[in-house]
Amino acid sequence: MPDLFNEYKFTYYYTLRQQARSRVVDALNRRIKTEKHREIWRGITLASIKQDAIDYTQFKWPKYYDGDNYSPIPTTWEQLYYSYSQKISHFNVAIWQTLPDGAVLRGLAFGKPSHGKTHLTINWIERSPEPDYFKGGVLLPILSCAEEYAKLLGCERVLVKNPIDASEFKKYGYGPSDRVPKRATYVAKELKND
Amino acid sequence: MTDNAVKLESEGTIQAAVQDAMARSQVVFSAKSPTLVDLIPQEEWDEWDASNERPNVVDSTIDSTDDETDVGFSESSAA
Repeated sequence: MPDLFNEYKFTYYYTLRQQARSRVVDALNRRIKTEKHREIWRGITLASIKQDAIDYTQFKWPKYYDGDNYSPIPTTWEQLYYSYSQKISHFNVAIWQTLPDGAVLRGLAFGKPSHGKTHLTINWIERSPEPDYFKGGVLLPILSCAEEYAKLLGCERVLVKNPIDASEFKKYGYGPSDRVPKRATYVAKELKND
Repeated sequence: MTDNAVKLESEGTIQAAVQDAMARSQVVFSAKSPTLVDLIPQEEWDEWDASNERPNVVDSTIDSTDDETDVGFSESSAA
């Protein structure tokens, strides 16, 4: 029975993450109305982090790390993948863009809810260090997916832990909060659950 | 329809999980609360350019589970 229960939980949370991504895709497509909009967002796919994304971070990204503007994270996305997979209700998303030469990984993120699911924390985000970064950016789709997933979990807020540049999150409604754990730096946003 | 003697019970488990998750999504999303994408002002959306964004987040306390503790609970009661 424990295996069946885990199978149920794995599929349940996998489907919730898929539904969250689907809602964000629908929202983006509703707002893409002009040719200029289409140029910015063309070919974007919101996906689960799978082996193809891990491989991309391992084999494509390292040559663009210059130690100045772009440095690798202090672990690997493969290690994070195995670590976060242990928590079935974790959050993950990969942002891909399909170009004429093939699929390009634009960024990815991992997070996890608190035990009582009062909040969802985003622990890791990395954007592509490749030079032809796209105008849409990964933050809007990542935060949107995290917020929609948090709503499905019944969370009251989304936290971002240890952002490199906290000001980047301000325009999306994230700022200092008293309702965060004390041992790290967080920005937070309260969700309006209707 | 084949009348199999032995059935794989996980089929029903997976179907139930998908149905429950879809039902949860319908309830939550039917409230029609806007997504973050919907809240971007039109002028900003029309001129959207995040090509210089610095979105990276690096959890410097990799093994910490602090952020899994619900804020408002004492650490002893949450343990």
